[in-house]
Amino acid sequence: MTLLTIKDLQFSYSERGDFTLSVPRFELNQGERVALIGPNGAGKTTLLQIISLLQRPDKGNILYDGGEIKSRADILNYHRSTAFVPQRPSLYNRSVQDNVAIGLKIRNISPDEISERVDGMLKALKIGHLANRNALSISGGEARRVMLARALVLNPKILFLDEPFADLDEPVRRSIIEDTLPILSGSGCATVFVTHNQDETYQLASRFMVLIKGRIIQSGTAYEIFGNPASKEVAEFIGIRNIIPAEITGNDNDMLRLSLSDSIHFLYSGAKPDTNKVLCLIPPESITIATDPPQLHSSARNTLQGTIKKVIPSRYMVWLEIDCNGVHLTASVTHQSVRELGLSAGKPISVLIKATAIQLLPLT
Amino acid sequence: MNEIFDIVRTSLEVSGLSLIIAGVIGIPLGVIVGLSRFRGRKWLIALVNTGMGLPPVLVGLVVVMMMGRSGPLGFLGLLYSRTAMVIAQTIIALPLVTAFTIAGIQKIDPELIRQTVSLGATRLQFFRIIIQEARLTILVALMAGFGSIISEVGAVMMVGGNIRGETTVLTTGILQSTRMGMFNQALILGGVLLAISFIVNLALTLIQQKRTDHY
Repeated sequence: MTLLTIKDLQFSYSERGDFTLSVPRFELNQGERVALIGPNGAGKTTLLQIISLLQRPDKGNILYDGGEIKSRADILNYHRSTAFVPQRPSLYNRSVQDNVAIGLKIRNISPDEISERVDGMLKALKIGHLANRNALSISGGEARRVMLARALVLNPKILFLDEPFADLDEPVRRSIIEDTLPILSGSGCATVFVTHNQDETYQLASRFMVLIKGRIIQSGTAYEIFGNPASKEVAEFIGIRNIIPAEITGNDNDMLRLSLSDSIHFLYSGAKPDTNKVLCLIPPESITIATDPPQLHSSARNTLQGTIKKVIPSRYMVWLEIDCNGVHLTASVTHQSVRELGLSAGKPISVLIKATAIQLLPLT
Repeated sequence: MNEIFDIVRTSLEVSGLSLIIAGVIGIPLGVIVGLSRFRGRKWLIALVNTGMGLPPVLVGLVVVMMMGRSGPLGFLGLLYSRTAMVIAQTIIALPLVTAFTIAGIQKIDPELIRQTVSLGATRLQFFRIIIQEARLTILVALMAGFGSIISEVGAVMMVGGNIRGETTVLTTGILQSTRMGMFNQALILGGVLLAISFIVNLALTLIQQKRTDHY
């Protein structure tokens, strides 16, 4: 059942002249968990503030539970059915317990019930020991827990989270997510959350919406978005570093033949797009690197010879920038592979790409 | 001794009542100005800030002109009364209380203000929560207001007239005793003035530093 509907939403920033947030339609179903993702400055936080009625749009209608929100009383009722967790730690200068209780006090719940619910929530989020501490004296991770507790204790119909786990160390972030997920699942409340680009938070979402330059470009499950980006911008945002213009020049045993340059050709096995001019998307993790003749042990249909230009280590993997006769590719390999294969700048290598790993976008 | 006691009581009554009135007007005014965005807001804040340095004699002059026999409020016959003194001291304390409150409210993180709205607070609940959040600065506002009027001499002298047993307060009492060569009495009044200032500020500081558990 649809809980929230937004129609014809328009918002322009006074300080960002040409930027407009424009959402023709947004629907949120009961119990659904939607992640708003997109690059910095795409308008994610603004959209979240508008749908949580903390920012007035220039235009648009918001329907909650079938009725349009118009009057002050509607807004108050909406705020009392929902909860918002902001991006920055924002706690009142009072005890942790009072911070968590404040929304219940506003709703005039009886003191006995408040104390019972607050105690339960503090325990569930593992901050019971902080109950009497002043909220301004606790750590960043603890502050996030208090903010989540303050929102979840209200049993909201909709929970809005603005980058709820930003600026936290990965273990802290993971442990907060682990403790929050069962409460969220148990309460069955719908959730809309903004997240920049943190893989751990993706497990919270049942649906993703990609917002780029104020427009929702794509909406769908993780597999739909990450496995099949709808545009160049979405592909760039989700980290497909190899986006190369190509042309469909023919067929080869049920596969399409793509020309990336005069000398580089790929085989592609997938649906043929409407146009012959395409963008060829190759995720860095689907490129395999070999230092010996690869034909012996690979099912990959596309093999290129290239030279490593740059080796860029990062936390989880190593990025390799490779030049294959004028076509530049970025591949990701493990630290172990770099060590075992002795990969370094200037080293000649073979690049293997499966025909199924390539995705095509019509070039517009 | 009785006279000293009367003077102390008059001082406390006049300045205490003035502070209460200045607080009742200045705190809500400061909260509203601190939170809202309207045209001319910066001008208003600049005006209030200027008011913090209002010379008491100037306030005295204006109140005398308004309440003097030929002034527009002369028919009330309030000049040289405690009421006139309360009016003058309220005018002196009001900008201080308002300006400090504005500063305190502006210091609150806008995210926290948004959070309070998102929690579904009614207007009254919202004001209570915000005032409580700014409570430390608001107490500073009251201390500053009280300090400015309990020790002020120009305005009370002009509008109260320093009538013995009626409108003499600690400061005007010190002035009078000194003029009459009664240095001992002047020193006693001075000591009492300092003691009152200390006790009131101590009490407010204790409240300020106390942990509050409710909204």
